[in-house]
Amino acid sequence: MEKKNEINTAFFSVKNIEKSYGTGSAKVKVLDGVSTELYEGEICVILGPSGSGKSTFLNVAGGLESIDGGSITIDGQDISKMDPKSLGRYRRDKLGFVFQFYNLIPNLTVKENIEVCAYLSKNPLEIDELLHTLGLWEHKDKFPNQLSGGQQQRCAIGRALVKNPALLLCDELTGALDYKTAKEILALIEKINQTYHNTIIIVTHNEPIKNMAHRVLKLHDGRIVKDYVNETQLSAKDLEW
Amino acid sequence: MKNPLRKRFKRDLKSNKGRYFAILLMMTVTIAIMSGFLAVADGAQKVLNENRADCKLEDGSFTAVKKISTAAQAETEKLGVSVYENDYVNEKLPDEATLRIYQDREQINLVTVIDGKSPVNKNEIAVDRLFAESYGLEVGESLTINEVPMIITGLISVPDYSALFKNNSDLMMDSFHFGVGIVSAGVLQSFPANEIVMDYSYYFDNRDLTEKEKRNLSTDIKDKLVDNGAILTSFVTAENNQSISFIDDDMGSDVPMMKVFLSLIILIMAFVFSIVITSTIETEAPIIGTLLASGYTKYELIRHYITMPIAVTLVSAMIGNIIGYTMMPDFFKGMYYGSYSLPPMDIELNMEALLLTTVLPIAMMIGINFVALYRKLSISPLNFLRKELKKSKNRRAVKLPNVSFFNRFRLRVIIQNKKSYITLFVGIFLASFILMFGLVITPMISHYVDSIKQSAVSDYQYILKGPVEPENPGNAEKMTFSALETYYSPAGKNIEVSFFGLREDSDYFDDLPISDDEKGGYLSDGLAKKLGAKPGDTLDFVNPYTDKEYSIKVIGITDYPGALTVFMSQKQLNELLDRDSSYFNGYFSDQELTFTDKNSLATVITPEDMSKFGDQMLSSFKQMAPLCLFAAIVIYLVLMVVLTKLVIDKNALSISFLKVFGYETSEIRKIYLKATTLVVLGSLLLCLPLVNLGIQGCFLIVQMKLSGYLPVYIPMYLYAEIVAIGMASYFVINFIHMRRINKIQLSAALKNRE
Repeated sequence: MEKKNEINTAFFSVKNIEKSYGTGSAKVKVLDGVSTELYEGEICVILGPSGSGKSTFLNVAGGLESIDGGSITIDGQDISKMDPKSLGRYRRDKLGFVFQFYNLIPNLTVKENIEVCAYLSKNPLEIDELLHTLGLWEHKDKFPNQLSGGQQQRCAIGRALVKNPALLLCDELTGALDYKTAKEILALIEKINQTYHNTIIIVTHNEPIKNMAHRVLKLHDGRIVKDYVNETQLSAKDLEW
Repeated sequence: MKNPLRKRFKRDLKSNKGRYFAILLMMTVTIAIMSGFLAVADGAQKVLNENRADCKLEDGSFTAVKKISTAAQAETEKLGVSVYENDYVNEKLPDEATLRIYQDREQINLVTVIDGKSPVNKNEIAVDRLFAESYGLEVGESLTINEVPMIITGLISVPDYSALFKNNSDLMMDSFHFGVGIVSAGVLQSFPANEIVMDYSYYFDNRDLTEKEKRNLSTDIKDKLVDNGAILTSFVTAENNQSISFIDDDMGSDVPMMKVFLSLIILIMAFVFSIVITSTIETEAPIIGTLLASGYTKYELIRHYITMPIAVTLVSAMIGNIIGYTMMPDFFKGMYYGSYSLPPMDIELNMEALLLTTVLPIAMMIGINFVALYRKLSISPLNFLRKELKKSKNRRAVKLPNVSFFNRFRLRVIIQNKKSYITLFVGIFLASFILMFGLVITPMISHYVDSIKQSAVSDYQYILKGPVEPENPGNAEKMTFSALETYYSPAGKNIEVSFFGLREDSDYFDDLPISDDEKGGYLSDGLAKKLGAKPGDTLDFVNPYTDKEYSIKVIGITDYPGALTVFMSQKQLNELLDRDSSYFNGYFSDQELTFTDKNSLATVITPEDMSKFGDQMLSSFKQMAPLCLFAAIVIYLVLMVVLTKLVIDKNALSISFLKVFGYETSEIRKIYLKATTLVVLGSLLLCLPLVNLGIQGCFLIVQMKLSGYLPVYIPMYLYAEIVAIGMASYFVINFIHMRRINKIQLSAALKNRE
């Protein structure tokens, strides 16, 4: 990974992005001159207390929200200048989202939920192989309400991954899970990163998760207060909290 | 790769089978009724038009006091018209029925034999099919005509009597008491000469005349006949002859009414679907947010959500049309053949009906749901993920009155589901209107007939051909009668008005302040309402046989439901008609009068004649009531089951929470079901005045077709019946909802992670 940092240009780059909500005296700046860079295949963990702007950062990175200033470049494309239609096309081709709540379609099976996003890609991953990777092979024909929380989140990750997105954005993906399941999911993310080399941004409250990241960002009141390369990266299975 | 979202359809259909079945049922029934009706109406119109052309239907007819001269006929025919003698006799049959007997026609108004054969021998007769069915005659039976038994050889239809009106001024056709018969050549001459009515039909040589040209030519024909010495007793164009044109007027209003009915139902169902979809979108907001964030476009999601309404509509259209063409025609044919004398018809595929019952519903479904989906899916993926589906966040909660907690809770439920409830209200209104239309006919006609009988001034009204004294005058009172016409703008044609000239001190109209010195007349209230006339107005009338025009001032309005009538002083009327002051041509009498010369009698009217009208009206509408009741109950049930279930579905989580908090099921029912019960009851009550207005408006159209005035009468018990039927339908649904609420598990709330 170190080598990659040296020879490649940044895959994901934000420069001086600003974002406010409200107007007049009620105006709140949630991102205030945020700049950072990520390289292809990196896992980046973003930490920060509630209201620090980490979810907003993820949303603007995914083109779900516009920014007031600055630029966001992903794989050489400035998405801050894209119109909604191009953004939609961009998300379709390049991005995968995983949320705290799985948002699975209740009347589709595990496999079919994953197929929903495979449909969007010209070169989706092999679904059966992915189901094995996710540990969902034996559950592939079950409906979401027949799965545990962890299995549902695996399915949501599979759905995001099946397009083989260049950038995987995860918002509190373990927030609704117990310790054991959360670690399993993080191990899965690690495995996916190693298998498919996607760049992954994980937003979390859970500080110890930073230990599995290549890069760590800490946000406070909309500003980056820490941005560093994690030299002592741990395997997900070794994380403790 | 096909979109995997499509796999949801089958499962959605399975898990919401009740909802989709209800919608499918309602649309299928509507489309079946519509397609069947339009196919039959089209078939009837086609067979009518073909029969009129093939059988050379007259362009007009007239009767004369005596046979018109050859010269008069020749002069008239120079105008570009052929005149045919078409004499008849009115033969009295038992049960106050009249059979109008013509000689078999060879040149005009040709006969169509439906069953059996035409009469050949002098003791044979063929009778109109509808009259035979109504009166109870069959081929092979014997009928005494002119004191001679005649064998019925066949059942027929004639193009000049598609509707069996005895007199053109009759309020309604009457197949129970009036029919047409055909005898072979020469038989008519065996009747007493004074009973033979000199009737003539005319037929334009130029078949491409415009309506205006036809009217002008008819006027010229009448003038020419009068100029050549013909004494006409009636002259009527085919357009103004109710026996010919009533069916056109009837179908002319039935078909658009049915089209409006279909459009309204489909429109309501499209709104119902849009509410169902909107509710689904609200439930699935985070999923939609995820799909949009993953790259699904708005149009892909619109396509997904709009597929089900289109599919349901398409299936309804297919099943509806199959039923419409296989099972419904007999029902609608029964309606037409039970009212009109038509030759047999074939049901063919009607392209307009097919378009109206397939393309129109699908187009409406796409249009309304596309707009609803486009609006609903116009918010950002992030807002979907956050379940922030309202565009304005600053909307303040509606401030509720300071009532009990339960009432406030119920009000919140009503406000939350206002779209469903508004659609439900519209549906309840439509269903109640249909129900009222079906239920009101019988009491309205009975009331009308009763009021005529009650307000009858005399047991007998005799209209004579001239001033003749009866053999037993008794308390009979002389009067002058004349039939004039006035223009009735809503129908765009002239209507006949009876003028009665009364004595100043009339014993039969003692409430009417008739004065020989006062010009003008009193209008019967039906005439006043029909023409929108009030005291002080001046109305124009015309004598259709002389074209002489009269202006009559309205002195007042009097309660006389029997006919469209003007009452005035006999002296004034005689003066108006250029008659001697002593002239009279009729009697009011409470006893039956006898006249030496029976030929002097033109008409006798008794109050019982009106009950004949009642029988016919009730017979024409008898199939309407069960159809309306069925349609209304289907609409009530379907809309209630679909829309009120949404309220439960939308609040399933809240209901689960309430159970967790310790609310008992009965208390939860009080909140959620009572809110719906109150809305249903309120809608039923609120729509009653609107139903009343709708019925009044609807009968304005009916009035245009009638040559009289049928007052709208809605007895109070019908309102109660509608509320009772509506509430009974609702309680069936309510029972299902009660079970649904019982089934909602506490775990739904406990499992909820948001």
